[in-house]
Amino acid sequence: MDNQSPPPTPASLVQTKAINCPACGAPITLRALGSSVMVACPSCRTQLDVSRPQIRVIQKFKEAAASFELTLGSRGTLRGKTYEVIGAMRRFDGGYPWEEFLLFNPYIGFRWLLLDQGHWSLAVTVKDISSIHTSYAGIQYKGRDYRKFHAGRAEVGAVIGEFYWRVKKGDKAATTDFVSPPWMLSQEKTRDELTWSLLQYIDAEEIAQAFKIGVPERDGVAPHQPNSAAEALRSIKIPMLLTLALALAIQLGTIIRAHGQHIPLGSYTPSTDRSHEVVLGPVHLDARRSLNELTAYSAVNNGWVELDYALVSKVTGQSYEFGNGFEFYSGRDSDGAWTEGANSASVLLTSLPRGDYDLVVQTDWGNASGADPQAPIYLSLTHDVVPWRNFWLATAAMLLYPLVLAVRTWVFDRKRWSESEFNPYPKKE
Amino acid sequence: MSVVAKILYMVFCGLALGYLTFSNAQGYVPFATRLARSPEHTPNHFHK
Repeated sequence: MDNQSPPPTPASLVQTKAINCPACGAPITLRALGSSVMVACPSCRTQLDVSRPQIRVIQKFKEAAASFELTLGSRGTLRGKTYEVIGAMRRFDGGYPWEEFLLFNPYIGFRWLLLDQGHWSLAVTVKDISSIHTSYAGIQYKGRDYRKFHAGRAEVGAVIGEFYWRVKKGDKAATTDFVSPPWMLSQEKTRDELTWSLLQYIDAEEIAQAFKIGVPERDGVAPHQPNSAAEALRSIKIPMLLTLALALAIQLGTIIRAHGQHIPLGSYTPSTDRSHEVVLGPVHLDARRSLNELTAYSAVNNGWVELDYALVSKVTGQSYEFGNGFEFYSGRDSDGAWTEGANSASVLLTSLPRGDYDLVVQTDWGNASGADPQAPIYLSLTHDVVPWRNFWLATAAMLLYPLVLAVRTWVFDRKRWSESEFNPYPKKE
Repeated sequence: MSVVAKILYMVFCGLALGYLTFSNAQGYVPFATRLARSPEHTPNHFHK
């Protein structure tokens, strides 16, 4: 970004001065006189040394003036501070270009705005380089870990306006970028100097509003672009953990309260008269409203059982009808012994009111041999069982949105790091 | 993240907790046999 730390700019020392370009005669206003050492004519881009009263041409340009996203002299209020664009340069790394703008405010000093693939960053030179430390993943600065993202070589392609160091087309610097969204630390190394800049990602809309320009088209994900899904995930982390803990507490309360009482209802051998009804009970349900599990078991082999039930209230005479069944087959073939099906079946009965009930059962059956059924059917009821489905459903519902955010976070970060030669994600084949 | 999305999520979590509390208290679970109340039981009622 800059090849030299910016000079201090006490407001009292800052003056402006109008000069004429010795190459084309165009008027040039020096806005940071006393700090600027060079200026590139905005008309012909001839670079002038303005560090001495005698203005000297450093380098002449014959190319047409480059156009930049921000015009020299334009002012904008950014984060409550008004800046003027006093210099602009286009740099590139290989075939990859970006624009850098030097902003100036006489009371604050210099700042940089960078425009890279439609993504804006506000940058400031790091003065306390001693607080940058190397760490396992990259570097650490002011308690924040930055991961290495890119190492390359930046070359100046075009320059206009004034700067506080001598800059010319063709100037090269080795750059290394470390990211910790929305921050990026960028190191620039030349033969003579090592500088660090701290960049903060800024929404293009904010820049557009500040400098009254359009919003450039964004391409891809910037190295330090904030991951909105990750931020959203962070912001709901505490409410999510709290509600999950509450759900667990409610479920624990239910487990403690629930009776889970096992009540054997009796057994009978099915009649050959399939219309025959067996009455079992009475059974007393003492929970106000409860979940109950009725289980039927029989050692039936190579046969099936279908059961129709009516749970009849002894008080009101009203009945609740339901059914279940099971089948079990076994045998032996060339692969050895085999079995299929089960010898029991359960049915969950929800929201049963308190009371005394009789269970009326009608049994249909069949077997491979055609013989009369020999195996008795055993029936039992577990009263007031713990309803786990509600807990899993509520937990899944509470985790759905965080899960979506986690996937979006992962996709976004994967896209970000796909642009890096230090990509921690496995590459697609 | 917008504050609205965060508030909506917290409301949603509140509803999920409400559902859990109420359903557990009622002994209700979804996808189970919900008993339909039939008319008064009569002998041999399966053959009505």
